Amino acid sequence: MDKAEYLEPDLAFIARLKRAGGESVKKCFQCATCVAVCDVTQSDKPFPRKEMIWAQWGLKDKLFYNADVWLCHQCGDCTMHCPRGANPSEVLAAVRSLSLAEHAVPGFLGNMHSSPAALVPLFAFPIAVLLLAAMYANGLAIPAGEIIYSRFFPLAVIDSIFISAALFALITSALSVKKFWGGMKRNAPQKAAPDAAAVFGALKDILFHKKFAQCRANKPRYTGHLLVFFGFLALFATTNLVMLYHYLLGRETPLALGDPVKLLGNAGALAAFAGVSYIIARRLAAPKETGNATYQDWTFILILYAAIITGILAESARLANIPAAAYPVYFTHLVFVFFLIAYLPFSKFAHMLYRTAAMIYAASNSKTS
Amino acid sequence: MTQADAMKVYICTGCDIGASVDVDKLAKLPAQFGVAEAGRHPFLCGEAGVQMLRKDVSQGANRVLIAACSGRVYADRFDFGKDVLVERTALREAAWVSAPNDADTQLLVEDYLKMGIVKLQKTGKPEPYIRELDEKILVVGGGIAGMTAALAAADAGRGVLLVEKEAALGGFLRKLKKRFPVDGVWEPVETGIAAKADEVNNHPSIKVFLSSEIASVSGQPGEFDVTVKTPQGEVAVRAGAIVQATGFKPYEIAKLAHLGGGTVDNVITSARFEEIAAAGKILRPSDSQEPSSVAFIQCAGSRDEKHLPYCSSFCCMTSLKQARYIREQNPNAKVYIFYRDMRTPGKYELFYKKMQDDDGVFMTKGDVESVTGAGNGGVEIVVKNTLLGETIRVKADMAVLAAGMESAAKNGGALHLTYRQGPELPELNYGFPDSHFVCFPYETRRTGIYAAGAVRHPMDAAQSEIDATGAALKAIQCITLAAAGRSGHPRSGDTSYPEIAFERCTQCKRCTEECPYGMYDEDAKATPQPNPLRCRRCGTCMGACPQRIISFKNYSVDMFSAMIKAIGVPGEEENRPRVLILACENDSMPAFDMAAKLRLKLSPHIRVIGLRCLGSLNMVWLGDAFAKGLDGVLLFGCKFGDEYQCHNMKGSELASERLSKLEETLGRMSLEPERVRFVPLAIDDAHALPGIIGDFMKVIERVGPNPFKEFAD
Repeated sequence: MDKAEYLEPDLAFIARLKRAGGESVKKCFQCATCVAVCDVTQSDKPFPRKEMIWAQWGLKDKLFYNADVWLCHQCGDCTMHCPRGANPSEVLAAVRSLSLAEHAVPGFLGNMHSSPAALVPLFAFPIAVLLLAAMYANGLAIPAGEIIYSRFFPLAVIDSIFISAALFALITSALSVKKFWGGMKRNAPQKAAPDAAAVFGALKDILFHKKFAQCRANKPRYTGHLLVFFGFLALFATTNLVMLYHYLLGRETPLALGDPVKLLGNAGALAAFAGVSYIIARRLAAPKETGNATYQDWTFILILYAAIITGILAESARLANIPAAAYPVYFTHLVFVFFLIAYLPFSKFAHMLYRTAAMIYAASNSKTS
Repeated sequence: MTQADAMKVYICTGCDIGASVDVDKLAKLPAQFGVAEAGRHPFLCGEAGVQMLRKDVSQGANRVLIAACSGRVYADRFDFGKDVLVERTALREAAWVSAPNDADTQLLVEDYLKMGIVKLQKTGKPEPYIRELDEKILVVGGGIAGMTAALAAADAGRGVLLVEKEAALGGFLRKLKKRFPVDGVWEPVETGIAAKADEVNNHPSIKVFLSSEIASVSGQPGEFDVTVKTPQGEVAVRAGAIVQATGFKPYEIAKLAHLGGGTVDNVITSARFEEIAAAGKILRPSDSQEPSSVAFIQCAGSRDEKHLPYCSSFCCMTSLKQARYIREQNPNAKVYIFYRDMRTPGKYELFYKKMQDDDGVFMTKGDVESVTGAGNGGVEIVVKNTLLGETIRVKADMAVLAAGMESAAKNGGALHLTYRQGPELPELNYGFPDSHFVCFPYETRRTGIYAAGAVRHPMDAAQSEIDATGAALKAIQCITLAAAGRSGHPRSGDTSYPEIAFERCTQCKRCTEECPYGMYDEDAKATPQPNPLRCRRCGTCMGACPQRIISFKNYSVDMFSAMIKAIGVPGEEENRPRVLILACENDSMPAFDMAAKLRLKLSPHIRVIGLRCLGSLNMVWLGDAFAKGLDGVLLFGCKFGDEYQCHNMKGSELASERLSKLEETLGRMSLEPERVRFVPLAIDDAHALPGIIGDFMKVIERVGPNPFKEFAD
């Protein structure tokens, strides 16, 4: 045989994994019921059985740099049927949770996102930046007259901050995904480079929530995620369209309520709000079916929720013409949005990066040559 | 049957018998044998019926033929004390398998009644073989099983002699740091062996011989003469029964070269590891360094056709326990367990789960390909087909081979029996001295000698304790039965035993060789020397004897010859073939009873006779059958071979061996070999009987009638 590398279990990793939500990992006795009941897994080298023994053995490199961990959608079917209470669904969620810090470039930002104490500096930064910007723009004074948020933050200021944040997120995302991708290639060399079909296939699956649709134990997640997903897409599109209005057409905000872009934005906000509300309600009402939520899960959900709610409130306060409420709420909204965008590759938001990458990687790898 | 004997025949007309056959005609049949007309009763097993029988018995009837149901039911109701011989003829079952009110059915029950009368006439009253017996139990081996057996027997009021070859009691457990848990806490627990040894040593009814071995054992249950070799010289003792609890030997790992056994430093057995752990801190042997990683290799030699083909049953729990020692000693230590299957049945699973939950214990199923030295005293283990989905290499500071159990009885050396068939307990499989794994645990093929604990079967300490208690009780039971001249199973309570007409013995040794229980010793001229208390009354010797000089008071060659000759053989022109069926009473007869219960229909041309064991088949009966004009003989016995079901181990096998020599006899009589067929039958094969018998009847039809019909009387 070829000389395989020595396996070296990592006891510290096992302890970390247990703390991150995978406390039941050692209970697995490898019966593979999980694999049999999973509708999402592929038939060739299916998950999560093999991930469970890697995790039991503390083989972190195999776990972190492995597409399958991200193909899992945490339906919880495996956990529900596990005869040993090993909860594979939670263990894989814990692996993903640790993966965020592992893949993060720069690494310290990843680590900060797994520690509650780090929330202070993480929030302090956007607050400081936005305060400075507001001070620079109008000395922090609440503008008189009709509520127009660009009077508080001129568009050029806002855009320069958020475009920078987006660029930062883009670059760090690329670096983080590259690290992940390289690791996957090292562990499971690709049979073929990803082609257009693999990419479009993966995007189609994501867009239509095909994988979520296969879940049984946690069926409602499909609805929740779908609402948030498309709500968020709508809001993202709205943001870009508003920029187009401004720079190309010279149309300024606030837009009339009947404006198609405004309609899109409001619809998106309502969908996202409904989706996140539903997700939170499900997590609280049925913790067993939804699986143990990790720290990253809750911070992400709550910050997303806060961004949506403050957005809705900011618009409401503007329409109700209450300047004393509108501007502070708007400020808060921007802090949360900054958090979401700038820290995307470090928070749970990054699941969209790694899952997409993993789906593309797996799609190109499952092709027969 | 003597002048003073008074035989009475009773026909029960209940259970369809009266409605199926002409009972009046049947009742007159005994007259042909000089016996009074049969009494009749519609419900013979009922209170009134039994009262009627009792009354007749009180008025002098001392031979009673109950022509009613199978002898396998209501034996207690038809028991009238030891002075009244009772024989049963199964008319009910015959009626159930046949067409009612049919001429053939009538002939069938008439033949059965005739055979019953002849059998009872040929039966003598067994005189139990009663001796003044010793009631002490000799226990060989002072480990957990031996001590448990000794205490169980002593607490039951018997004197016990305990022989231990080492200088202290305790056996394998004495060398352990701890025992694995069997309950409750699921942590390794104290062995408690020292306290148990104290209890044995201080028991007033137990005499302990340390540093001693058995030099010889002769005699029979109740009177075993035993020579014990003690440090002070040889001591002669007497015992009534023996429990052999000599335990096991760990498999020699030098035979496991691919696992580094005997060649690679720091590759040791679990037994050696246990000794190291018991001595204090676990240090590896080569350099006394504390290991930070230890690999356990399960099934080392077990479940391997080239080594021990069976599961040794205690290794999985042992390795889990030892993993605990290591993890306790060093919380950063890594323990690998490479297994083929984790076998922790029942509650043991809870300990497996507990150890599995330990972060530092890494397990995978797999085939360990090699264990080699990896420098600095370390070892490298390569494991194929793992659950990790690949062949893996692991480095560890030392490796422990969970070596399997070999019975200490393998290759003998413990009992030194002076028996003609050899000095040790016969082995069943793989060196274990079992006799019948299905029906008779503890029982060996030496009556009065019981194997207990790991010597008998791979088992752990907890199982050995249960096993030893059972064996002690069986030993006591054996002496109690022997004292009354009664057999142990399978013919429990039988007081008959073989008697030999020595004047006609040709010293052919067939009986001394074929007895499954080694009942016969031999003198210098090879004359059999019976030890009746070793006998289990199977009749194998009777079947084997070419001189036909071995018989029981109530079971003899002559008896069955007479029964066969009592079968009515219609002339060829009547087209009523006759097939004799000789069937084992342990499995085949119950199958016939079950066929009757199920109302399966069997050919009315068969005549079934039950034998104690097909091993008691004497070939002369086949000659008798064909000389009488019977057309064929079917023999039903238990399955033999590796998965034999014979209660006497080799009965059906011996019978089929004897049959292989039959062709010559048949040839001499110009008879076709197809006329005789042996069919293995299990107790639950009732449904197969119509087919088997139907097929055979077709064969008989094809080969035609027995030409000897013409000459038969």
